[in-house]
Order: sequence, then structure tokens, then C-alpha cells
Amino acid sequence: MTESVDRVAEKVISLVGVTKRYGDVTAAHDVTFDVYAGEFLVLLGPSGCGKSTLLRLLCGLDSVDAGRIERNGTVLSGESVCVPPEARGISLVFQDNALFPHMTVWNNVAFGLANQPKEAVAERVAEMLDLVRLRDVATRYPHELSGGQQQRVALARALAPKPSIVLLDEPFSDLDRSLRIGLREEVRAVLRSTGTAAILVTHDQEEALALGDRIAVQNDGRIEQVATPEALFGDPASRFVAEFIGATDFLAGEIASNGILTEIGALQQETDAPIGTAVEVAVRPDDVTLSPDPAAAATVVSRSFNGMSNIYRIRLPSGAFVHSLQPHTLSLADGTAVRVKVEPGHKLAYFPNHGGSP
Amino acid sequence: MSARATARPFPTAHSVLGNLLSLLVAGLVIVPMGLLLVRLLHPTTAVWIQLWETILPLMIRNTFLLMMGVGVITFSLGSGLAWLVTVYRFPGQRFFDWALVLPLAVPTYVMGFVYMATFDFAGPVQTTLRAWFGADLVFPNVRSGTGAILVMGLTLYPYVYFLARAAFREQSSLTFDAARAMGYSHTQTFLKLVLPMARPSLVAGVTLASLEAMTDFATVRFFNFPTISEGIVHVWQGMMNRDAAIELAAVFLLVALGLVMLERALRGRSRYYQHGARDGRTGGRITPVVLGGWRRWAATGACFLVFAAAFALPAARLALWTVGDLSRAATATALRTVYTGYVLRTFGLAAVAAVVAVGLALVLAQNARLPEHKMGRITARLATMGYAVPGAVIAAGVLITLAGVDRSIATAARWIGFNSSLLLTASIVGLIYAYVVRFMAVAYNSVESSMDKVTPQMDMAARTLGASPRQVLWRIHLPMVKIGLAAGAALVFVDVMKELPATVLLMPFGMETLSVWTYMLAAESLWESAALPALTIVVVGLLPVLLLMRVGRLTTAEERSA
Repeated sequence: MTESVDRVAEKVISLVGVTKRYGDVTAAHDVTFDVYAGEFLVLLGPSGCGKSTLLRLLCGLDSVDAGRIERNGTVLSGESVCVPPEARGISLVFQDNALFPHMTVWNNVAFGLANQPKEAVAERVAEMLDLVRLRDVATRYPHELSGGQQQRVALARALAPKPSIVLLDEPFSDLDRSLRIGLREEVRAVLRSTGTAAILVTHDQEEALALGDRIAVQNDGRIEQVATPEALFGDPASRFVAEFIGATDFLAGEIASNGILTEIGALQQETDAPIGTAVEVAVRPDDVTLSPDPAAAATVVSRSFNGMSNIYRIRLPSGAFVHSLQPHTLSLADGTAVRVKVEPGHKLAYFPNHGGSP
Repeated sequence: MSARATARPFPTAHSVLGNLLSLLVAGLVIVPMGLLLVRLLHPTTAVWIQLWETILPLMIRNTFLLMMGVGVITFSLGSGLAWLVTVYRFPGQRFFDWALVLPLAVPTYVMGFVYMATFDFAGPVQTTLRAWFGADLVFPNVRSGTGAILVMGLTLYPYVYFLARAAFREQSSLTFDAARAMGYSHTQTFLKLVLPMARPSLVAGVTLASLEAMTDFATVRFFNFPTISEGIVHVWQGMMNRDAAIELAAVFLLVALGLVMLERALRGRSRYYQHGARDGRTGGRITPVVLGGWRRWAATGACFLVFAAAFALPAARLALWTVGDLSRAATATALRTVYTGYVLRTFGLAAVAAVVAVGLALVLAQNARLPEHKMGRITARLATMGYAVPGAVIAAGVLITLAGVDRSIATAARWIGFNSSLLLTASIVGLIYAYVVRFMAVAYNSVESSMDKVTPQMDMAARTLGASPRQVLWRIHLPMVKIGLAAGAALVFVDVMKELPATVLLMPFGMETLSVWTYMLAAESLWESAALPALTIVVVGLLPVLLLMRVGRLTTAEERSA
């Protein structure tokens, strides 16, 4: 989704300055972002960063301390407002799927359609089960299904009442890796076909990059950046984002007139900081090239082989480490002296270095 | 942060209301005990001097001996048999595996009078032996502490057996195999590894058995071995001195509470979890050993002996007596009317108590359910402490509580010109109240364990799908816990039916139950007549035991003190 389309599209959910404290812990701190119609937004962050708190606030299981949550311009949560969960039109899918064990698949999906005429319910449930390809197990009970099937039922159940948005709380993390990848593609496709906006909560950056139209990175209650996966990867707004997305190393450097000076050479790129500022440059394995050179001061510490490529861990003369992505054909023994260069072919992100060692 | 870790109560009034309601329920349970303890602050000196100078030292000694003896017997029989049926395979093992739980259906006083009738001087055993060996045959005195302890141990061992069996089954074969690989024999492994690992369950089982022995007054009376329970009933009914009985009950309450604390200390905070047996990922259950040679028959023999002594023979004896009693046609019609009356009264009382207990347990469990409701769990623990308190003590507590309420009502009634003196004290309200206090834990544990299946996420899912809190209760909670509710009600029902001490002390005139009827007849050595009500109690009592065996767990015993 490009920026221009983004901004024209209709906002489904808006969070404005949302803050929530539990005792001394601020689980959500001045959180502001929008979710647009049909968008798949990923809320990404490490464990304990407050992602689940945002979900609870969104679906009205908790009230906000400050700020507001709006749906299509109507305030759901705000000062002295907390629309109860049942009246919000926001559905949830959980990690443990939370299917009702005493109901069949059919009745689970029909649960959210309680006040509708029978024929309409039957039609909608059938439609939902077709959507997730589970029509043939409609009469079974949840425990008779596989983990992936259960999660698809949970999705169908969440979509049945035509919510404005579906919240997915780490829905894939209990599943095997092979199943997980297939299922998440399917979930994504189902949501796209129904045009339902969704927020996926995850701590898995690979999942976030693969699925998100946009990603909101949360850390310690704050949203650090909201951007497309590419923008997040290429232009991280903070050191935390750079560190959290894509195995990043940080190299100490100093702003020079034509770029940044580091211990492995000068990086030619435009900068907007005063000359002489101490910075840390975010370097990813694919930015680092190396060649064996007995005279070089850097050495290979270890190699991790993952089929298509090797990732080398390299100790620089200063004691700092960087990683380098190399084809599987280049095989170097531990201890090999190597010459290291950073040749990104694009601008590297850098952050002020507050006196920390590299 | 996972949803589980951050789950917090909904911002609604119902959690406040829930807390209030649970506190109220806990209050119902605690007030009688609290009032009893207050009584201790101003004891009647004369009564105490008299009690100390006469029966009290003996009663204390006997109570102590009884509990120790029953503890040792139930521990040995329970853990030993559980080990046999879990680890070894021998003829009849599959039958004994569940059949050895059946004595749980026999109340101690029924077992007591059956053994009394069989082995006493005039009983068939001694009569036969005298016929064979002459009249000067020396036979150990049956009416003794030893007799009482043996009979009760034989009746109460299933508490330990059941819990030990469950604990042994949960233990992973990996630990067991590791010990075997290090050169331990089966027996050494059992003594050094399996038993210590099952300690929490074993301590819980032995405590339950000891508490049951402590609450009994009828069996020890049959065997002429007065304990404190017997003393309370004796002082209350025989000496008609309720104040003294209440003070005695207050002291006994302290003893019971001390025992519960001792149990917690002995059990430690340890719960020895083991992965494997349950999820099947790392090793399965301990691989059974097929016994050969004389060993297999020794195992069968041991199980058979216990089963016969603790269940088959007493049940057969009761059945024969009942047939004999019923075959005397002259009394049959009259008996039928009387019998029907007792059954209806008993079942009515038990049903009311079961419904009330389960209803209140539901309130407690709803409130204790969510992980952040610490308050809810504390109130639930307080509200379920009655399981540890002897029936006679609860009767005394309920009596003074209701007497206080009656006095207030009477004062109020006089004020508007009515006269009411014993509105509650002399009615079945007191009896129901006592049953609910005593068996709340039974109901609560059933309700709670079934409610465990309802995760906070299900609540959230239901709410976001448009269900109000009330609809969540009706559409999700109740359908999911209804089997637990039914099981809890069945267990309370049977426990009420078997209950004796509180019933004897609190029953209003004309409200005698099957258990009281059994006791009265047995106390007058009318064994044959006592057999019919006793057999009724045993047969009805079997139903939940069988039900629980089928489900594979005995929630009453397993979780009463968990």
C-alpha cells in the first residue's frame, strides 16, 4: 500500500494519545496511530512492551487513562467513555483460539450472530466456513480439529458478525513452523478478500515483515515508528527499531564532511548532523562484504551456515563485532583474517552515540 | 506480554458485587467457628474442672491414638495397594484397581457395627470358635481402641489409595527408569523416589482420613473408645449440658485447625510436577511389571483380603441381614412406610443442602476464577475450611450462631407483638446450615475444577462477539460447568446422607435421617434392622464413587485440601 493511497483511505480505527497505567507500570504511553479500511497493520514489539494492553484497550476490556480510541469517528474509549466490548464491533482471535469447547464449529461461528433471523445466521455461518474451507467439519467439536483448523474456525467466528476490525493476538505462535507460514498466508488472504481491517500483534519480526501493510513498532509502552515494512527496514526511526528489525550491528563512528568515519572506513553518504558528532551506524549483514587478507586486522570468529548462505561473525580490531552475509560457496575457517568493508549501496541509518562503547 | 499475564477484570461493577457476595458466603462459614472461639475467652471454670478430672484426659489420649493409628494404617494400606496396582500386573489387577476404592461408600459407623456384630462375644465368629474349642477360649477384646482403629483404617484407606494411585500414575516413567538404570531395585525405587515424590498427595490423603476419624463419634462409641467427638455428643445429649459441649467443641476446633496447618507444613509448598505422563512427550507412564510365580498370587491375595474385609464381606453381611429382616412378613408393610419416610426425609435434606452448597460454591468460584482475583481466592479458602472441622464442632458453632439470630428475631418480634423463640435453632435451617458449612469444599472443588476449563480468553471472545456479562454466564459458563455442578451436587448429596454427628445434634424432632436411624438401631444392637438403612446408604454412596472412578479422578479427596 503506497503512502498516497494510505492517506486517502478511510480511517477505521484511530488511537489518539492513548495512555494506560497499571500501578507504576505505564503499559501504553501516548499511543497514536490509525488503521485504515482494509489495512493489515502489525503491532510488533518484544514481550512485555504493552501490545496486549493495547488490544485490551481496543476491545474495551480495559478503560484508557488518557487519550481516546475512535471507530469511524465515534469515540469508543475516552475520558468517562468506555463502550463495552459487546457493542464495539471489534473481534478478537487469540493465540489459544479460545473456541467454546461445548459448541460445535457451526455454533461457535454462529455465536456472534445471536440476534439475527435464523436463515441469515445459517447463510452467514456457511459463508464464513466456506471462506476458511471448513464447511465439512461444521458439526465437529473444537477438540476434534487440528490446531490450524481451530485457528481458522476462530477467524471465521471473529469475522462472522462483520466487525469493523479484527484483532489477532499472536494467533500463529502456538503452531508448528510449517503450518504457521501456510496459515498466516491464508489468514491474510481471507482478510483481504473480505476487506476487513486487522491488527496483528506479534513479537516475531519476520512475521511482521511478511504480513504487514504497515508495522507499528512498540517498545516499553510507546510506539517507536509506524511505517511500511520497507521503510521500517530501510529507514528505522530509532536505534530500538533498527536493533529489533533485521539482525543489526552498531558501529561507532563520527560525522565527517563527506559521510561517516568508522573503523572500517568512511561511508560516503549525506548526513544532517554537525561534523564531529559521535554516532552509531546501523549495519546489517548484507551491507558488509569481506575478503580473506592475511594482513587484515579483523578475524572470523564463527560461521553459521543456513543452506543458501553463510553468516560470518567477525571481530574488528576495536573488539566490536559485525556480521556478514556471504554466499554458501564462500567458506572460511574460524580465525581467518579478513578485510571488512561496508558497501551498502544505500544510506545507512545512524543514531547519536551517547557515550556508550560500540 | 501475553494476554494471560495481563488479564485484568473488566471495568464493570460485577467484580465488586462478586467480592461482596463471596465475602458473605465466607462469613456464613466463618461466623460459627469465630463465635466458638470467642467462647473460649470466658470458659465456665466449674465445667472444665469437672471435665479435666473425669473424661477429658482419656478422650484427648484416645483421639490422638485414633488419629495416629488411622494415619499409619491408611498410609500403609493406601500407598502399598496403590503401588501394587499401578506398577505390577497380576490376576485381578484391573478389577482391584477400581474395586479397592469402593469402601469409600461405607460410612465408618456402618463398618463399625458390622464388625462389632460379627466379632463381638455374641457374634458368629466367637460363638463358632467357642463351639469348637470350648467356652474358656480367650479372644482379644473387640470393644477396644485397637478394634476401632483397625475398622476405621480399613474403611478410610481409600482416601490415601485414590490419591496415591493418581500421583503414581502421573509420575513419569523417565524418573523411574533413571533410578532403575542407576541400580535401584523396584522396592528401593518405590521407597526412595516414588513415595517422596508423591508426598503432597499422600499427606493430603492421610490428613483427610485422619479428619474423618476425628469427626466420627458413633464407631468409637460402639467400640467403647471415647474420643473428643464422642465427648461432645455425650455431654450435649447425654448430660444435656450444651454449654459444656460448646466449650469442648471450641477446643476441638483449635485442634482441627492445628492439624490443617500441620498438613500444609508437611506437604510443603512443593508440588512435584512431572512432564511426561500427561502430555506424552517425554516418556509415558511407568511400564508395568508382570509378576510371576508365588508373587503374583501374593499380590492378588493381598488385594483380595483388603477388598473382602473392607467391602465385600460387610456388604454381603448387610445384604443378608436386610433379606432376613424383610422376610419377616409381619413387619414388612409397616417397615415399608417407615422406610419410605426416612428415605424421603434424607433425600430431601440432602438435595436441599446439595443445591445450596453448589449455588454458593458457584458464587465463590466465579469470583476466584480470574488470576488477579487474590481476594476471591482467599475468601474461597476461608469458605471451604469446614471440611477440616468435625461435624460435632460445626453443630455447636451453628447452634450458637442461630441462637443469636433467634434472640434478635425474638426481640424484634416481641416489639411488634409476636412471640417467637426458636425459629431457626429448632428447624431444619440449622441442619442445612451445618451441612453447607461442612461440605462446601466438596461442592467448591467440583465447581472450580470444571470452571478451570473456561479461560479468560473465552470470556473476552464472547464479549467481543456481542455477549453481555450476563449472557457470557448463561451461554458459556453454565453450559461448560454444568457437569461439574452436577458432580458437586451428587457428592454433597451423598456426604449429607452419610453425615452423622451434626445430624444427631441438630436434627429437629421427627427429622431423623437414614444415618441417624442406622445409628440408633445399631446402638441398641439391633443389627438386622440397622442393615436396611445402612445398605441404602452404601448403595447410594456407591454411585458417585463409581462415577468418579469412571471419570478417573476423585475430586472430593484429591482437591478438598488442594
